[in-house]
Amino acid sequence: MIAYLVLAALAVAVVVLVAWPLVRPAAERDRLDATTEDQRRRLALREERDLALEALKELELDHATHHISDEDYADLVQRERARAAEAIRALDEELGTGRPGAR
Amino acid sequence: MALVGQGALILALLLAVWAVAAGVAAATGRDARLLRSAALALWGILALVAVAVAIFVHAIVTHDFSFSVVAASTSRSLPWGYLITSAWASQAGSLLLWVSILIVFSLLALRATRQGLAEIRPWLIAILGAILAFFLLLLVVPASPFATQVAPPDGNGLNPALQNPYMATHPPALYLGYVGLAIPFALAMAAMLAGRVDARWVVASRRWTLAAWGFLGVGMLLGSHWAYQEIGWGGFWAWDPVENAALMPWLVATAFLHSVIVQEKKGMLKVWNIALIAGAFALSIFGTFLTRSGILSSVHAFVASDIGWYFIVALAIICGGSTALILWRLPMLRADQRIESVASREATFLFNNLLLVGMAFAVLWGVVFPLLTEAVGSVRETVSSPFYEFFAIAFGVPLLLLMGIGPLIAWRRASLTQLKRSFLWPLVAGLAAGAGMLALGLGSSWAGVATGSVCAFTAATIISEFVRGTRARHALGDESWPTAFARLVGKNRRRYGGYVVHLGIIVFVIGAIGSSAYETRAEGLLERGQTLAVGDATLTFRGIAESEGPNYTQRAAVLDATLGGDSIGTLEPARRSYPREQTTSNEVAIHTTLAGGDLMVILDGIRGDGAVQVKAFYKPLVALIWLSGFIFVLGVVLCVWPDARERRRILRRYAEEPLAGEGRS
Repeated sequence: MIAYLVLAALAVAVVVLVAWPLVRPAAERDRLDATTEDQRRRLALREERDLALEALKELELDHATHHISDEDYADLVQRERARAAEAIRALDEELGTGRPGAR
Repeated sequence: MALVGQGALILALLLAVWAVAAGVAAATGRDARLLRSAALALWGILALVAVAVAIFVHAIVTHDFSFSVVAASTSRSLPWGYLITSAWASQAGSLLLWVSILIVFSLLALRATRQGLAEIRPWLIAILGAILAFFLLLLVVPASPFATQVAPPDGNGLNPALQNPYMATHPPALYLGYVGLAIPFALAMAAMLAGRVDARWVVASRRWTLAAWGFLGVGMLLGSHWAYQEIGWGGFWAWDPVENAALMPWLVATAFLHSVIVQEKKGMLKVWNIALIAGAFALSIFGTFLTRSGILSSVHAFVASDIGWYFIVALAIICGGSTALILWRLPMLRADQRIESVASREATFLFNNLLLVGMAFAVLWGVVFPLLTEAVGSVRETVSSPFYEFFAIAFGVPLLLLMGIGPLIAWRRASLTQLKRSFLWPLVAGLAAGAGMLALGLGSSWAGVATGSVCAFTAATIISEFVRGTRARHALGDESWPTAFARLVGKNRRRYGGYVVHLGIIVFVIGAIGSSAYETRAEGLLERGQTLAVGDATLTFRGIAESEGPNYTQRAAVLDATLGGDSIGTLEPARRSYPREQTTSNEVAIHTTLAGGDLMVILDGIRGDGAVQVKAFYKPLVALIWLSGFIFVLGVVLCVWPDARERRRILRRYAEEPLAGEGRS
């Protein structure tokens, strides 16, 4: 009998637990926003920028430890800088032409 | 009490189903209230599973044999420590451990998605809820720890092989690994469902995969040491299906940990990485299926088992579902760049991946082939050690080589001049090691010489990486040598932690090759006063010693041992008899030398007239296998340790671009 009472108490407790957020009156903040295509694109550009900046740091270490020649280093640094610059330029363009407050 | 325990598990199952439904509804209906309800359901599961575990452990320690599982796997004479470890000795107990770890990991993973991944949380809860529901269903229906019976006066006892201190560490470590792989799988699938296939899920899942992979590695090594000491067949790895069950997901997770670096650095291999993480998790479920369904003893036992078909269905859903999701999101998973040259670090990572996955498939085929032959015909064809050893060498030696080559090649491409400069000294080290081994008379095993040379080459490249990096930092500023070294490792923990793991693998391979290729063995029937020689060691039989333990009687052969002519004391290999369990066990005697070799003696039998049948081995360098575990753990900890720089970078990125759902609890 006690076991059944304990179980009933547990069942009531878990129902209250999961129902609690649902029984409150709905509010505006209860709507989950969706990430927009603009946001996704900007996020991708920010990732691209960060990847290029990280690659520059890695190149520096590889060069200092003689894993790459001076010529390759110069070429690859230029490419990664161009990649970072392109991402930053595209990001600026996005933010400049995006909706107000999109940022 | 059993009723409360069973009821708690049923309620937990219902909550898991609710978490799935509410998670999916929150994701599709964009309803934050449902998301909060789904998250609270996970907390409810934690509380209910804690109640179930408490009741189960209480039944074990109070010898409540009305619980069928307690009666089947414990007894009143079982020492207290083994009473606790018996909690995961049974099928039901081990599944309860699975669920306990999974619910804790699920809540930790949910917490870790607050920054930059809030949008995937409803899907994450739904997937974790589904995995929890599967294991809770097993605990409620076919494998309940709370099945009851009329209590017998005593239980059947615990299998003597499981009455070992390693029972406290080996199964939990393996389970932390198996269960840990569920988190990166859930993160990957949730990211695809939410359409968030950017790099954020990769960063979140990488540390989980590393930790799970580390636990699996440590679990396998602990199991090897346990088998080495306890089973008494003279080795540490038998390519047993249970061992292979842990090795397969470990190999695939190893591939993921390498290829994910390529995705993070170069934006390549996105589909491949998701496939690998799904494969690693499917193999961890397959491993649990292998060990829990009875299929290893016979296909017919599997057909008759209560649990096997549940796993088959789960595996089909995991493989089919993840394949469908990948195909659906394929347009979003295109690579940002291409591999420019085969002489580049990304190419070596790709080759490494192909070898690791190839090796995992070879092991999988070795495990599945006997089952297929039994299912199709009537006789089970076995796959023995030479099959696995062939593939271990065919894939393992090139992998060892790549471990040395990869760090010395730059990203994108490497010039011939640079390659010559980088590889000169490591090549010299490799050739010198091979020549040295031949000069020392170790040419009896060509596989041993070749592997030794490759290990020396790879170790030299890793050491040169530390030396070059430290020298570069030292040359740049006013850092002392120790400071330069510490900062080099501290600021590049992932890279240098990886090198430490590689060193651990090399030490392991040297130990494995040394102890197997250069092992000496002897066996014989010894009467009192007779001697057996093995390598430089001799064993002289002095008599039988009898003793009693808490739940066993022991008979040991007393052997005076010498090594190189010097006495090293007495070795006492023994056999223990467990009256309650009605079985016996082997207790191996081991003497470890300062050079890391083991003199190992196994008592195979005692004749009526007091003569003993013994088997003896001398295994050079075997201690390196166990030492490698410490190096491995050090490397894993270095890699897993939170990286403040990476965290700052991510925080900055998401502070610049606040996404949907950020900041919600």
